[in-house]
Amino acid sequence: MITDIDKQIETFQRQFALVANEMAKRIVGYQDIVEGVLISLLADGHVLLEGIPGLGKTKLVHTLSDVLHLKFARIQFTPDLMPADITGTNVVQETKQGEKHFEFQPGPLFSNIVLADEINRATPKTQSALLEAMQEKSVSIGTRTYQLDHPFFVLATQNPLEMEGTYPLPEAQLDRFFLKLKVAYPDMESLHQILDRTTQLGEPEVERVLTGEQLADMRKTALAVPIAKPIQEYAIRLTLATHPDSPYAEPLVRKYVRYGASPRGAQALVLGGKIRALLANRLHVSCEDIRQLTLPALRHRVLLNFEGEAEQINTDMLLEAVLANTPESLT
Amino acid sequence: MKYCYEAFMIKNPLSVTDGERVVQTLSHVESRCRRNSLTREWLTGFTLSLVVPIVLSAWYKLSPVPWVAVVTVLSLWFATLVAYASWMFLRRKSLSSIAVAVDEKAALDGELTTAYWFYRKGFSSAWIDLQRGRAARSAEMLDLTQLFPYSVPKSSRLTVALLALCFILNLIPLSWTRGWLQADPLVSDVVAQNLVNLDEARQILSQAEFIDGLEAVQLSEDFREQLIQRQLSVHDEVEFREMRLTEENWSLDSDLMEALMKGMAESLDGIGSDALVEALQRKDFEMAARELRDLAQELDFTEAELESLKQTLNELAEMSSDELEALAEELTEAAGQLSEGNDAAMQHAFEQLAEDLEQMIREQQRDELREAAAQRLDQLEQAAQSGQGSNDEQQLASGEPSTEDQMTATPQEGDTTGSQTGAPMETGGPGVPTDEQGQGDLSAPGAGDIIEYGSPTSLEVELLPEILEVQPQPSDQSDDRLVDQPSQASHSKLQYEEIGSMISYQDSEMLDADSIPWLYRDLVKQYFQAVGPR
Repeated sequence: MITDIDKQIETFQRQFALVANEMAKRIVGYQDIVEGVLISLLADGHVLLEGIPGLGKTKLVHTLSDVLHLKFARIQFTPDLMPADITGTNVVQETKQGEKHFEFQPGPLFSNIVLADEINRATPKTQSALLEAMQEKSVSIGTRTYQLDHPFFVLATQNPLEMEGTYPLPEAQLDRFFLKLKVAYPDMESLHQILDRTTQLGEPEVERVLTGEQLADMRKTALAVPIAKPIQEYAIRLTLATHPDSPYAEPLVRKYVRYGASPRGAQALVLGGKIRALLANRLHVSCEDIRQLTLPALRHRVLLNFEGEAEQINTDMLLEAVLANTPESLT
Repeated sequence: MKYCYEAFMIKNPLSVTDGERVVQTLSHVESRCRRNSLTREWLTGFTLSLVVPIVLSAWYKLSPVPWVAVVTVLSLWFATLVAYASWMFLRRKSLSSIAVAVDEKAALDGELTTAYWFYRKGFSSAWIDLQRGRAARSAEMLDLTQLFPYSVPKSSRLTVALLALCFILNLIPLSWTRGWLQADPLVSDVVAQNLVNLDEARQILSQAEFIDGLEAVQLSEDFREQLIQRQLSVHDEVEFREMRLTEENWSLDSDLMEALMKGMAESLDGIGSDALVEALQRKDFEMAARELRDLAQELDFTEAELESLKQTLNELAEMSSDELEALAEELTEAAGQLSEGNDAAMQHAFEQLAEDLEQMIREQQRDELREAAAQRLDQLEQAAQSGQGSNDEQQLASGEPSTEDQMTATPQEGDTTGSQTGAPMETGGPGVPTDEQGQGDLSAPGAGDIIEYGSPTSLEVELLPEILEVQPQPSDQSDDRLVDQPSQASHSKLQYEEIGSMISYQDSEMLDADSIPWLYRDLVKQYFQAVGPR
């Protein structure tokens, strides 16, 4: 007997596959990156894509905006970019009667999908202008607060911090990203496909396959997936294990970590786990879902101390140690 | 035990819910896992525990232990084994952990774990019920016999081998085994039996006429006490018997001569030779020999005296050990002559007895002389090897008497110099014993004299700690203090700021090479060479 829930699940999986397939027309490889971006989109979160220039980060976001029936805006972050340039500002307007008044001119943040390209090239002052928008989905200008369109989805790209002319993102802003996905260099086969597609006339066309309403339905379906307490506890223990003063903390964590992941990290683990469960045609979240999401959900939420920074400790290494030493079940 | 109750409540398979089907499957898996776990862990524990009786058997083979210890160890081993088995049997895994195990084995990604948790907590919703239904279907499709098969661990072979070894070591009588069932009588039993024999020996000894009754009782009591003491520490019967023989030899060797002489003296007391009796009591063999010769010349004994003398001589002959075999033979011969009543032969026998006593005296004196000469030779060699010349020089320089002086000087009573300088060779001269000599000088010539030992010399010296008051002097400030001084100081005492002001402008100008006139440069150079470091 097929229930409504079965239909919802089937719809969810089909629409997800539609978007992924459309994106695959332009984006070669990076299935895990695309899946991560879509998971963040369905979880109402934001994504930070990190990779060296030229790997197709911006192209991926452009493609996503082309696939969805949503309003898209791109902000190229530069060192001289000001907060008002992205939030908008009040300008003096003159009516036909000659009266002058302030009128709010919305910035590029007032879109559904915002591409914050090379976000770490702007100063922290400008970067912080995104804080309210990313969390509250609103922008405050002067004495007024403007609600952003729904859904609001920030896709930020950044170069590795070792490169010149980059500013590290504030911890508060980093925590607002649902996932941080590292874009790796494509392999030989993917490079062949990239060259084949981009060195010929014309570019593969993509269709808009998902509307905002459908996206909202998919979110509701994902949120309805039940999770057992032992699995949720596993996610919590993983999160707590990133804190140096936690009883679950690893020796490496105690040595190199200053602050561990915030509760947003545990939220990301559980929400992402639910979406992954649906994609795997499961009605429950498994520990494997949590494990698969641990690195992208927690790697940007773990702040190293001075010793960790000096020894250039990779947070992925710390999280792998946490995963290896955190048992799935305490029974 | 909740899940047992839940499994019991599942009666009708058609009416069971999805959650109950999940619990049923988990219970089934739990029983299979428990059986395997019991088999594996109990076998492992039993195999390890078998080391105890095997080690005990090997130990018993090498050195038998009291049966009480064996029984105690085996009882503890068995009790531990039973406790371990009981703990294993009572221990049960929770169905949650079983669900985790099933999910891992069947790659269900936590489906049964989640379904069982929802069922146990009583949660219900459309999504949860649907998930539980899927989990129940997945559980029914599991092939539990393949996922959790019954198995006998490979370590069971080792268990069987150890069990066989333990059985062979303890219960099968072989040439190289020594089972507990064939244990020899314990030492305690042997000692008890010997104590009975000892009582009989004590009675026999007390009846001996030539030994004083009280002394015999004392001897037997000592023997008994030694036996009881040995009983506490001796474990082997053979060792016990060897020790018993040693003790007997020790008693006879030390007391034989004295008992012999005393017995002869008591026996001859009625005959009328007081001098002979006195000589024997004093163990003066020379005098005893002369008296025996006089006795042989007289030979005017009555019948009763002859019979008494004969019996005494026979008993003395039986009491003699192997070392006094010649004396025993002469005693036997003298007794025989007494019985025959041949005066000439009796006289000859007494002569032989007297000669034997004199021979014993000569041998004893010869041995003592030889031993004394050997000791003296050793001392001379040691003195020669230890560099006598250098010792003399040191003593001359210190004003102490030389070794030769000490050797020629008469040692004073209580003088400890001889023993401290290591040259007391002559201090133990004949008849002049010192306190330090002790038993060692009994072998020296003249040691047969009665030696009166004084009380040991004690040196009453009290050591008192001497407290030196050291006055701090300027010259006592060592280099270490000078080195440590700057680090201990809180502030530098050098006023660096004033160094610059001590040099006036003119002085610094004069030191400037450019300001020195050309004609005076040689003079300045010579000056600095003269005052500068060489």
